[in-house]
Amino acid sequence: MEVPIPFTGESIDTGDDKTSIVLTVGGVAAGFAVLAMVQDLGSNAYQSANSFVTNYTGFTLGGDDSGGQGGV
Amino acid sequence: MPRELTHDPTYRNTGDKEPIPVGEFEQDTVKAGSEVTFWSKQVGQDQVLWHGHGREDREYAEAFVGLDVVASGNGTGTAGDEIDGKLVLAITDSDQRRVLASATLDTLQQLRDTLAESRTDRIIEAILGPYAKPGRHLEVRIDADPSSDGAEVDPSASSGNLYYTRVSN
Repeated sequence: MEVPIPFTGESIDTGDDKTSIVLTVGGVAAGFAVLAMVQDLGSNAYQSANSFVTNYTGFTLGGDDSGGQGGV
Repeated sequence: MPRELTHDPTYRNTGDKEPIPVGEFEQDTVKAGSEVTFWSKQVGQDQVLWHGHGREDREYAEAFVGLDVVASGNGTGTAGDEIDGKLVLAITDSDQRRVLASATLDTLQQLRDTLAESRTDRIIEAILGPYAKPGRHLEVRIDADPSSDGAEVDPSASSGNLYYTRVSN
């Protein structure tokens, strides 16, 4: 069976092998799951850094516990 | 002994990107072998500030900079002469007497040449640590070459900008 790929003018011949279709769909789903997880980790790191700075500007004059170079 | 300003990846996604247009520079005279301050900003009591902004890898960098600093003609040289030397970024104390951290960003020649390139090919001024605490000053200085000694900077005829990062409480 020919499955068109949107906007590209190309198509994929999926044949009669339903297993490969299931694997492809499963692979794409797993890829999105990993992407979502990585985005979440990045967001947490960003929030962590900002939280440290916000604590600082709230006059919690702490040491260099952020892993960064601190301030002068 | 002042600390060295270097890229601090911890804060690469932090804060607001603020421009330093060369038009905000003081109209002052450069001196060969001496750092003269042309722009400064005192850190507010509810802020911390960094020189530069964002990441240093070109694909994700945000602060592409360049400067063309020219003379007014009031000092040595004539109006429009290119001023050469080193561009120094510094953090000083509340009296602007003691340098707490500094680094040379690049030469004014390189910063001038980079303006001819497309924006994303220009010199990157990534966020530099340590940050400046409340009461300190961010400063931009010029350490002029002997060929430019005594020239007065004309901010209105110069072009380009640098960046700093601000986080407010």
